[in-house]
Amino acid sequence: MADQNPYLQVKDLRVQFKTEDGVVKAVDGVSFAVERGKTLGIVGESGSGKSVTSLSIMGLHNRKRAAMTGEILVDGRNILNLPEEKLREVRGQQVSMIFQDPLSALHPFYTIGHQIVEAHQVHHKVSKKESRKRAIEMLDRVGIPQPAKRADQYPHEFSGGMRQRAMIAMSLVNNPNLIIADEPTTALDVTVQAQILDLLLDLQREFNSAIIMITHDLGVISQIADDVLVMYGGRAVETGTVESVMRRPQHPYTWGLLSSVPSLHGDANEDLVPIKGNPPSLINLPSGCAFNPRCRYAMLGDGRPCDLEIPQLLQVQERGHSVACHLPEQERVQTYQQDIAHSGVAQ
Amino acid sequence: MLRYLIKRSLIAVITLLMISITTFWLFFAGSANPAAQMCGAKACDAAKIERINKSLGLKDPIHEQYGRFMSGIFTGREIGEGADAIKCPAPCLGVSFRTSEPVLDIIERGLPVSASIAVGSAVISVLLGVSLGIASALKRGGWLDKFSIGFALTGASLQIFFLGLLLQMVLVYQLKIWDRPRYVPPSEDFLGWLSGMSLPWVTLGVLSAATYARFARAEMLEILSEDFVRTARAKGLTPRAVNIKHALRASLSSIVTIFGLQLGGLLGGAAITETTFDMPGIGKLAVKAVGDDNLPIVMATVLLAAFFVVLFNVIVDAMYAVIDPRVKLS
Ligand SMILES: Nc1ncnc2c1ncn2[C@@H]1O[C@H](COP(=O)(O)OP(=O)(O)O)[C@@H](O)[C@H]1O
Ligand code: SF4
Ligand SMILES: [Mg+2]
Repeated sequence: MADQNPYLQVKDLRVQFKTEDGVVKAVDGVSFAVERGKTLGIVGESGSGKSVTSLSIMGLHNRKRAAMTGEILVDGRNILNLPEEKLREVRGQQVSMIFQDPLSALHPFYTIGHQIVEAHQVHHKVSKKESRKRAIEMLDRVGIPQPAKRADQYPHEFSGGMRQRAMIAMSLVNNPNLIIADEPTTALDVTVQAQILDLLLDLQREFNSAIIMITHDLGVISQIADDVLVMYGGRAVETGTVESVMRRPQHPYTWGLLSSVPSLHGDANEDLVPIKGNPPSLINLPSGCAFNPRCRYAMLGDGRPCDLEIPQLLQVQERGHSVACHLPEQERVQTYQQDIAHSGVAQ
Repeated sequence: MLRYLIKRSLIAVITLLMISITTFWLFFAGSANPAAQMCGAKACDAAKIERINKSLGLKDPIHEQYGRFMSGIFTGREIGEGADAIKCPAPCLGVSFRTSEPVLDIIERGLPVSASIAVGSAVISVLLGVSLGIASALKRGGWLDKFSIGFALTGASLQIFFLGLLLQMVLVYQLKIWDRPRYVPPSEDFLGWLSGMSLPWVTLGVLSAATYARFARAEMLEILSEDFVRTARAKGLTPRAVNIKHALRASLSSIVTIFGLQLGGLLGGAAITETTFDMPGIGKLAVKAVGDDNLPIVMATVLLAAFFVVLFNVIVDAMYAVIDPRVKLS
């Protein structure tokens, strides 16, 4: 493995916000790494800290309001210690972001072309004309027909799918080494979603960039990612290669996620079961394993650990696969094989 | 665009017509007795009142009087009878019942005064209010923000006649450090105009700045949390570019909305402002005319105010279309 020097390394990241209601522990000790040319999928229900994690990598949190500890190494430099001016060099050039809803993420009063030109000009001392040429090139590259004409139109004149393509063109205009896509297809319908994912994979092959794909949809992960990190309540509960986590998941939360997602090739009659209960409040996480109030396998009372001790993320027998659950590994493997893989129901 | 203008002009004309009819009718429906007012307190006998009524046609059916008024606008007319008749060339809005001077001339004299007050205080309130509001949103929770919140509250609860009279009393008459409010045409004496207008400008400007500051602050705070502002930062833009080019630009359409509302309010406030500072503008003219049952002047000032309200609406609409590409004039 070329894991010696991954392009991005996040080590024990913690992000907390002080609010009137209390301290929000949005990210609570998460570690991961992504190499160039590879895709890491981060998955979890809404409110599990995915977006906060991604904004940390861009250094986009207000430092006065967000307390951050740990390390975020981008190409070896720790984002958390960089002064604002240095951060601006990283943003949009080395690391760029694609947001969920391009209609609200693009400025309504400027043309698409203008916004891409601006993104290019921040990091390149070239004429406006050259930047515009580059912008049109990018629009063409992401599959927007008549790119020169479309460059002069406003975001509201684009369809949802075309708008997300334009957003991707803007994010890639400076050839970033790391692209963070925060639910880039959530607002789109299924066919357009597949096209956008294909486009991202294509561009990744061309530019050899690292991608972090944030989603609450395991289907997207299986299509595009090499590795996956499952987040719950601001913590990592399971991580590993897509192959191992999707085929042989060991965490009850991951089981729940899997049975609440239609499999891409599965039949339509499959039972889809949403996970019972609601995601926890990040101000007041359940003690022990944050998933315990919703977990069918929770071991509670009589000094049993699920509501007493936070389970550590530990490597399992399979290489590169880690799980944070108090159930013994043997039991997890068996439970999954006997109860879940066949019925598709985790609870 | 052309269609929009034609449509808006038509609507404007109809609006003004309706307002003129309503004003006319309300005037006569009330207890107005212009003849008695004109003839003065003493030596006023029934015969004299009769004569005035007859010569001005004040007892004719209202629609006839209204017809005469309207046709005068296009053709001009002669008012009164015989030797007393006054020529009033088109566009004739009638003559003052009191001074017999054509109303248009009176309006022309008052308009620059009101316009000076309105424009000057609008400039001050927009510049001061918007920059204060935006600065306090950008430095949320800082001392400037706290000041601006206090300022907005104070400004909203103070009234022009109170603050205006207070400032006049203290600054002008007691301490004698500020010029007495008065109007001189800027073409004659520019500096005199500035210093004569300064107290009304500052009073009215600062008071309405409070409203602007409050709106601009709220609007800016909302926009700073918008996704596209986050996108701008994610591009690596400087805070300055993010704040001005992206956030401020986006807040313009709401600032224009307040601007339109405030301009309308300024007209209503003109009467109070001009009375407070004793400035001979349209507002003061209107107040006096209502008290005097001076119908032609009442008509003219009401129509003028309505005209400006319509005009401001068109201007505000046009500004929306310029600022926001999603808005189409139609
Ligand atoms: N700036 C902030 N201030 C306070 N709380 C925040 C802030 N940003 C996010 N949070 C909280 O952090 C938690 C995680 O949010 P987020 O990362 O957006 O979740 P998701 O996994 O859906 O992307 C949520 O409970 C959210 O309310
Ligand atoms: S630690 Fe306990 S509560 Fe948490 S997932 Fe495992 S079994 Fe369930
Ligand atoms: Mg999110």
